[in-house]
Amino acid sequence: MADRAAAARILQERVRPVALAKERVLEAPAALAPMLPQRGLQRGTVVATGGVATSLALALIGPATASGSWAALVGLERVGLAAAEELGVSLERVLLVGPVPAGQWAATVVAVAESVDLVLVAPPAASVSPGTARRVTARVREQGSVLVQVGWPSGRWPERAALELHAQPLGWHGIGVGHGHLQGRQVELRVSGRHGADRGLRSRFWLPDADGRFAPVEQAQPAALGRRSADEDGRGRPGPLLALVREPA
Amino acid sequence: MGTVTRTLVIWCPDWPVLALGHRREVPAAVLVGNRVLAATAAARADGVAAGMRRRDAQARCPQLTVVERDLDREARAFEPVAAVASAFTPWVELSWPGSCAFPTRGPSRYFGGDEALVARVRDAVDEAVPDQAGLVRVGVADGLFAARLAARAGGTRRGVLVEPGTTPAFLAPLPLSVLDRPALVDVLDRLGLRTMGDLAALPAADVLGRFGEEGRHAHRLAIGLDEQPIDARSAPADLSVSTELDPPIERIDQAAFAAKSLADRLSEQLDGAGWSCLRLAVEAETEHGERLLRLWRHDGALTPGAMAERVRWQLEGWLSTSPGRQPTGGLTRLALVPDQVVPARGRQLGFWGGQTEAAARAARAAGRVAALLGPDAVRVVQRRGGRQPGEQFALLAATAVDLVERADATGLPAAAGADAPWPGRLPPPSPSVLWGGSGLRGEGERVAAQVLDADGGGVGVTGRGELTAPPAVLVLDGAAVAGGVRGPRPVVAWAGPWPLQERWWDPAQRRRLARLQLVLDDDSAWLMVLEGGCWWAVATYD
Repeated sequence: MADRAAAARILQERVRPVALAKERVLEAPAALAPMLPQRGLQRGTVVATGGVATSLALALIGPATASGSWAALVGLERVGLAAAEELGVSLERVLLVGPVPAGQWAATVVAVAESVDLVLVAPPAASVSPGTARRVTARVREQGSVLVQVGWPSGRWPERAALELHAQPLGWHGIGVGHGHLQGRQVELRVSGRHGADRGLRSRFWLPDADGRFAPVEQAQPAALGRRSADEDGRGRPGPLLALVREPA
Repeated sequence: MGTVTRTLVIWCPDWPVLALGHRREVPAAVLVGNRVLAATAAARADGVAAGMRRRDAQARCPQLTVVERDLDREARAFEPVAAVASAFTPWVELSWPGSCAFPTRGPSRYFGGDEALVARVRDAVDEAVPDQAGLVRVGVADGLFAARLAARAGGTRRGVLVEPGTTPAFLAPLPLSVLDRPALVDVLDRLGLRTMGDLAALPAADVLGRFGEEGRHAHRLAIGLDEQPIDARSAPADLSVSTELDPPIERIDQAAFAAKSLADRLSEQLDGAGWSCLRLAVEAETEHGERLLRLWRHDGALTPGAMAERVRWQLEGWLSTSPGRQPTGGLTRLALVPDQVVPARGRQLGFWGGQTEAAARAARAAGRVAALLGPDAVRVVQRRGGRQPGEQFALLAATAVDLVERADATGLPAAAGADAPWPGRLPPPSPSVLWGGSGLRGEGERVAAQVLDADGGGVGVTGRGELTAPPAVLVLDGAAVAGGVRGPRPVVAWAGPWPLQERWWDPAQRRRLARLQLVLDDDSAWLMVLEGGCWWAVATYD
């Protein structure tokens, strides 16, 4: 009997779906993964980026494109491809779509989302109607792609995104008054959203760092040049950094 | 062990150059991609060799006539030779213009042995193609590969006749380079294998184990077995495609169209049935009931494009050959018969998709969006050199690129000069938003701006590359574009200027500019360019 029970268990293991729908995630930057509810970008969802939105969105899709997913940039003709590459995006798997006429916006996004894993979308000219939004989200969910809204003003999209990332710039390093050059920018990244994303996590990152990459702020940085070094807002303070801090209720 | 067909090969040396009408006493060379493919005897006497660069070839032989390759003309010019061969047997197969082959079993029995056959073939070709008299070489051996080499051997005897059963002995002293597989030969050479005999002496199983399919293929050739894959077979008859031509085709341009559409249909059928075609029979009938047949072989499997090309060559050959040999009327029916096929091995997709699948899906998305917004609305990235952020990448229409093939290549395709160091580039991080867009050489949409000093005066750059005054205020004129930044904004940090002069020797394209990085009070950072006395905001670090 024990053998049979064991065999049944083995059979159960074998016939179990390999990946549950919830577990189907695309790889996110390693430094960011602990802050995300699924430790990655969940397929079939909408992600909103704000603040330093373009760099943040590019950093977000970098690891996924490097591991074989394709990305489409819709209406983002102005994106700096050199910056995208520095942020880890594999440009050989990038499609640039645009310019998109206002009337074709939804059709274009749907067409792209059907076959490409990651769709980065610039804000449309007008706010998206609830009907259109439902159509787009339904298609994204069906196809298991990820729709990344890059720097959309509030109100353009009728519902809340599953994951909202906001990168608040804290200041540039390396540039002074008449000397140095732009070397890196610290941002404070806030994560909010639905389905377990709304834990109020925030952490500091370089976006970009001196090599143009997205990286966690590891430790107390040497006093930076420029305006903020002279400020009183606690530049020298060893911030919470890697430790995740819960927002006070 | 497969059976080996005794084969006769007719080979015209230097065909790519002689077919274009150049006499062998006149130095001439045919180039492909700036490298010499073939040269006349006179050019070779001056030291021009295949694989040489145009510059080197012309340095050795200044009076050298250099022409680009013209495969269509080669194929047309070869038709008389193929026609002579087809007088001996209908089973003449061509693999490339300049060389054709047929099995000798029937004809050599009829003419009384291989030797007599070779003599007759030589005479017939010399008679039919007087230009080539005394040049065409004929070789006979067991198997096509050995027969080709036999035609090349023998020096002034114009090819040799390898007795039946002695093919391995004939091949043994030849260098491995005759395999025409440089990568494999390089490895074998480093292992101390120099001749075909060395390779043939190895056990077949060991060669297969170490070098896989390619090694097995080379080993089979070395031991004198035919180069055909073991699993080649004659095709089921129902795979052939044919079309009635009404009105009858008499001109070459009509033939090209018919060839393309028929080849596409055949490749579709073969794909559906899971076969690849190794040898293709092109059959045509004329208004007066003549039947024309020619076989085309390809060393790998024939792709749709390659098939269409060969059908076109064949039709052009038939239609443009000298009067008297020409068919008496227009072509009324054309049929393509896949004569020998192998199971299509193709590209196996991974179980869960994989790279190729993802690229194929992306290509579908590109196609759909192109249908929606126009062909230029979907683009892919190519690396290119440049100092300005917008110049470092070029954009190509995605529908013009084979995305699946790109996915198999590693890394981003690069244009010439992309790997150059480009001194004068700003170090990373690069700006993430370019107001002019990517893939543009400088021109395009830029945001006009004013950079002012503390007193409201304009800031300039001196001839020595220094600012006339420290910048204090940035005023963006094209505010609508620049992310809603309106009006004058205080500058809190700045660096530069970094002057840049490009193409100063070229009055039309020369540029002289200075770059400046500004950080405003809202922590936004801007890359500014001063060119021709005006400031432009070219990029933002968003």
